[in-house]
Amino acid sequence: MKQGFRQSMAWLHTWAGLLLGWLLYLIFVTGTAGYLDTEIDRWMRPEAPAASTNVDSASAAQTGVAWLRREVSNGRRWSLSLPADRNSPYLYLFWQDADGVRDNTRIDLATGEPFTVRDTGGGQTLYQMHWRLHYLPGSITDWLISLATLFMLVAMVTGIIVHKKIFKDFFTFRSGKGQRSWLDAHNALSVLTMPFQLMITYSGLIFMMFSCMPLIINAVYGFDDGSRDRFFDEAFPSSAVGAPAGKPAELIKLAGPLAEARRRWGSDGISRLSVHHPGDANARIRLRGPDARQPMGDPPELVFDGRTGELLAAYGPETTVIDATRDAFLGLHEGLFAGPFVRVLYLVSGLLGTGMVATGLVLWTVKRREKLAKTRSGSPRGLVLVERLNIGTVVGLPVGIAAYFWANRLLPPDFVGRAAWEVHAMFIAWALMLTHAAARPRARAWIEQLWIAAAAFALVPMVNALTTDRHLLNSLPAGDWIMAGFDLAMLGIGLATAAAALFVGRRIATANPARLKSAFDHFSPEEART
Amino acid sequence: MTVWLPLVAALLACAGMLLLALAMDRHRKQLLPRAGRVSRPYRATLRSAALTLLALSLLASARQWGAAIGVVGWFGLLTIGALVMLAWLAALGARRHQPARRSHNG
Repeated sequence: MKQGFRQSMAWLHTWAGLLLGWLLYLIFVTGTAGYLDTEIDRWMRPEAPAASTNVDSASAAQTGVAWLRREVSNGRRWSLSLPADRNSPYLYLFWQDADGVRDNTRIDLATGEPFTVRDTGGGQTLYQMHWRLHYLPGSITDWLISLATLFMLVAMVTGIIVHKKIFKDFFTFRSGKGQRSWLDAHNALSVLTMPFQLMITYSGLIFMMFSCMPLIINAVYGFDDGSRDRFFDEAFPSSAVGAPAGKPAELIKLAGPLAEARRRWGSDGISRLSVHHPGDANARIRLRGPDARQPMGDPPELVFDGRTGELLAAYGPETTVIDATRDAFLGLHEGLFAGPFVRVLYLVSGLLGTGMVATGLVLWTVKRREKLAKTRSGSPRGLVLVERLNIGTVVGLPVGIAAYFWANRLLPPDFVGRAAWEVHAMFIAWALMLTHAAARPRARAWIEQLWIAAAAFALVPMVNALTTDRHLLNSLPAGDWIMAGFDLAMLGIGLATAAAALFVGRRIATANPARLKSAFDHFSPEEART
Repeated sequence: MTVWLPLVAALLACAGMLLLALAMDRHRKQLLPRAGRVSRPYRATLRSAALTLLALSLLASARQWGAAIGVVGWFGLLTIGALVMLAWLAALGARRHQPARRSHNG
């Protein structure tokens, strides 16, 4: 088989993109939602008090430790994630008790007591599907995600090679021209966001590098069971805290270490505090400095003796070049450093990337359909399968996410396994949408699903209004921008989807009948089955 | 940190993209139907002016967010600028496909 370089690249682009396209779509959707993870968290926990940002981190730490001293005095380890900004809006405590059992709670700084919230997966569970998927063990998902990321990079690079007129067509979108329009849209979405897409895909691979290239570790550290642990211990040394002495000793007051940390990092600079073996002679207090203000570099850390209060070690933010490079890529990927404006840019780039995957998937079917309609030979089975999966995923997955939000509001508070059922609701809704896509004629399936999605999203603010007090009529006057923003965003997505449904409906109604025949009826699923 | 500086950076990015489009014959015709083809030196001038605006946008981003995050934000702004331009040109293109209606209005 002899063919040009560009043809082989085009082939690779087509199939690398298609094969894991639906998985990539899920990764893009959940990853984009992840840029608003804590905002979604807060909407999904409407009982939570106002966020305690702009507080003095040292006094927040005192409040948390006071609670832990009282409630978990004989714990093995206490950790406090201190409220700082959107990334950590609350004082969050997690600990291991004397038996090593882990637990956690959030503290209302106004009362110094935990606040109870509904059992929910929140924005974090949604965001974690970005790299953990769901229902599958990590050993499988690591490989799936690595493979999908690798395919994505291949699709990016081959796409750039195949695209002949990157600069000439830079601003080009010709609407109403079938395949041409889909190609224009796919090109525009990919080219205009290329720096972001290359960064996000390459850094995604860096996230997965220990899964993608496990043998490199084995080559140096051996193949035995402990080899990976030895590697991680050496590559990412954690400040050693040692074993407990077994002799009880009073834990010092934290004012001293906190004052030292405050002197170094400022009043809002402490991001995390942990106490190892509280009440033991070998107690250690670790304080971590400002997090996520720059894409690069681990935060600095201070370690104090918990009995004497002596400063034992201070780790600076400096790292090796290799470590800093990795941190920079991971930091760019997560965008934790992004303030509101840059966060919006991340969000837009993520949405456009989602559109890039979706248009690529649709383009495959449009091309194949036109080719089949022209030659009137060949099996349409693959085409029908891809078309149905496209509808049920491109529209169906977002409907699933809307169902996740509905479940958050509608499941009773004492429902057993509530958080798990929120996720089940999402996947059940998605499965229903896939079934619907398989059962209905293609054009109808698109329109109907778009209308379902429009209703599912646009009604979220209403479901919120019927089940909580923090609805738009209250949140808008109160300037509660997290709740109002979420509701308005849902309304916006709903309206945009309704507009899309109207547009598709009108397109089909006004299309030239002959073309309509070839485009929509020629390959019905019934025909494909025979 | 100011509110207007990111907006200035965004506007500079849009303006830069507009000049880049004006330097391309196809889009020049869409934006300025009565203007003729652009001469080579004029095209070069347009492009340098465009690059200057984009560079100023980078400067504004860097001033707002610092060098490291400024570059990240600037890439996002370039995307927005190009997207605005693409949407505008697509709208112009769609309008050109309906010449009858247009002559009624004019």
